[in-house]
Amino acid sequence: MNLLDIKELRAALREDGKEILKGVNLKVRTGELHAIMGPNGSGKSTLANVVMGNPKYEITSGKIRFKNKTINDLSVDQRARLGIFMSFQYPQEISGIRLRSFLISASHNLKNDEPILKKSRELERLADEIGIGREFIDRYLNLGFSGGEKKKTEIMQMHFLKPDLAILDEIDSGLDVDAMRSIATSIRNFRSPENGVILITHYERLLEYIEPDYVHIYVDGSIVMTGGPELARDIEERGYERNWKSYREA
Amino acid sequence: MEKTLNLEHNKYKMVSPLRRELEIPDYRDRDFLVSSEPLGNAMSVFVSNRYSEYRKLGFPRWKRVDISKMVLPPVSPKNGKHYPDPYVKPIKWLTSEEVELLDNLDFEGSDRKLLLLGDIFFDTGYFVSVPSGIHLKEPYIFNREEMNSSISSNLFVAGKGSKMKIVLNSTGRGKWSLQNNRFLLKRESSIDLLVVNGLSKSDFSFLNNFYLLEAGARLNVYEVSYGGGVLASYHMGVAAGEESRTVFEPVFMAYGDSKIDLQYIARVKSARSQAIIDGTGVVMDRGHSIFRGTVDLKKGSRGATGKEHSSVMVLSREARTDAIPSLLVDENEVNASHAATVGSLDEEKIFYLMSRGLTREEALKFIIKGTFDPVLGKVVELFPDHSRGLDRVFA
Repeated sequence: MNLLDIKELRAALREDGKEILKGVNLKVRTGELHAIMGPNGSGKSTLANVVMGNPKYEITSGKIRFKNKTINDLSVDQRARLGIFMSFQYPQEISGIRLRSFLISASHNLKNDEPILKKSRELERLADEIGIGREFIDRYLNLGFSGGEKKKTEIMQMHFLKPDLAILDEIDSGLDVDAMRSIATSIRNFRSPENGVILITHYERLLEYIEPDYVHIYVDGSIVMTGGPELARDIEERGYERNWKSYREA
Repeated sequence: MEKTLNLEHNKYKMVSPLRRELEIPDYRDRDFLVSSEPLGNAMSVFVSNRYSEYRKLGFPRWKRVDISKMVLPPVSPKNGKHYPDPYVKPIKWLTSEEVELLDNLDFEGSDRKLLLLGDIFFDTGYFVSVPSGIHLKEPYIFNREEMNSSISSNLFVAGKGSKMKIVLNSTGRGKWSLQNNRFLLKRESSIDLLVVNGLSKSDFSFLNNFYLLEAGARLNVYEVSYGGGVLASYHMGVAAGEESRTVFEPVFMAYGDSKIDLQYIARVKSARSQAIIDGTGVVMDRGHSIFRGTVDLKKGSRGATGKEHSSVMVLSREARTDAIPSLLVDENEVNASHAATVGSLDEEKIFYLMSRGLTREEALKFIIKGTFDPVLGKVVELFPDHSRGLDRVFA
């Protein structure tokens, strides 16, 4: 089943009109894991933000369809309620909001009507499984968390909210080998024939632990090449420095 | 009298600005006579002396808060309602010695006229004196509405090594209210004070609090202000004894057409004392907040720490906030700092919360509640039975 279908998507920064997405095409079906790789500043995070609906960006042309519904004009929360989740490269630190009460409220909005106590226990189980202390659940959202703890918490949120499509924006940045392995295991456990995952990353490292179905090379605001896991290994060996224009034209 | 601003350095003294006055109907001699009944002899002399000074002053014309439309409430005779506690008695029956203490705790307040008005025309007032070494778990509650009071004047004395909690709740539907409260914290004593100012749309509410701390005393003041109307709240803490600690942690939310004017002065006259002012607020609609925090480290405060910080979030174009931090230092070897931040809503935080399925309104509520949670959390812990509903007000 088609989950996400992006066609000729162009988007610009609302503030100054600078175009960042320059005609993106991408299709994700249930059960698939896509890796999007690209150099710094190519606009990978912007793609994640535009799909999630960050009002900082304006779609200038093209379409985003999710579960066969055009979502260009939907608000961020409406997209979340349809089943899209995004993990942030730099998760926001928010004082005064405790992770447990925030996630329980969020899951209630996502039509999870299980009793609060059950949800609470589920969070504790997930914290144990992902390897962050239970005390983090009752701390203020990401406040004072290390880089690794923030990323683990993002993954915990994904498991708890059970989205149909998870877009993980540089979930591997700033992680040591052990944390990377643990997050990779957690992403593998999340995968199912009913959901899809988009991994946005610079490096092939994470893909050593998670086998993607497709690897897309993303340069200067669009996908220039699509292949299998071997493409990631090729990037690791030869880097991004090459004439992508000719690939695109081909 | 402890003046709000008292700048002196060697032979130099500050020039006081001229006081601008309003012409609004005031109490007359007849009102004074009505309100002076019944009073003990010592208090009668005290009140008469104050009235001589009161008559010479007009009401203040303030730059930021307009009180020209306020109407004073009718005066009432002094209320003699019994407060069922062995350490409490009506202030009108103070002895000469106790009146001398009241006189010694004299201060300027948000304005001298208003302070004197409270000292003279109070309808309700109590003297709370907790003996040395007594640790009280239950707080003293002074609730304006329950006491049916417009003007009150209270005196609190925490005996050596004693501990007490106090709740002053001025939330009510009255249009005009004024409270004067004086606190003496004797050596090693401790007071936790919760002040709740819930304002109605057309309220004028005034508060003048003065705290004198002896050596090793501990004072924590949590002031929670919200609603419409006009509030002018004034707190002055004076650390007279060494190694005392004064903490003011106000939270406020101005909405509708309200004006919330908060002033905190932490004056340190003794060595190694601490003075901390940390305010958090949100302004929205056409609300206007004024936050003045002054840390005043006087000569003799060697080794003292003074910190002043305020953070205000502005949620609408018409809302306004003035942050006026002051740091006055007349001693070497002190640790002093101040910072004020005024900001609008962080849209990236809203985006983050909405990406988890919260609507914009819900995300906003979470952020506002989160802004106040660190202080309100302490309030709930200290005053579990008297802070119900505050979390709802602040979300």
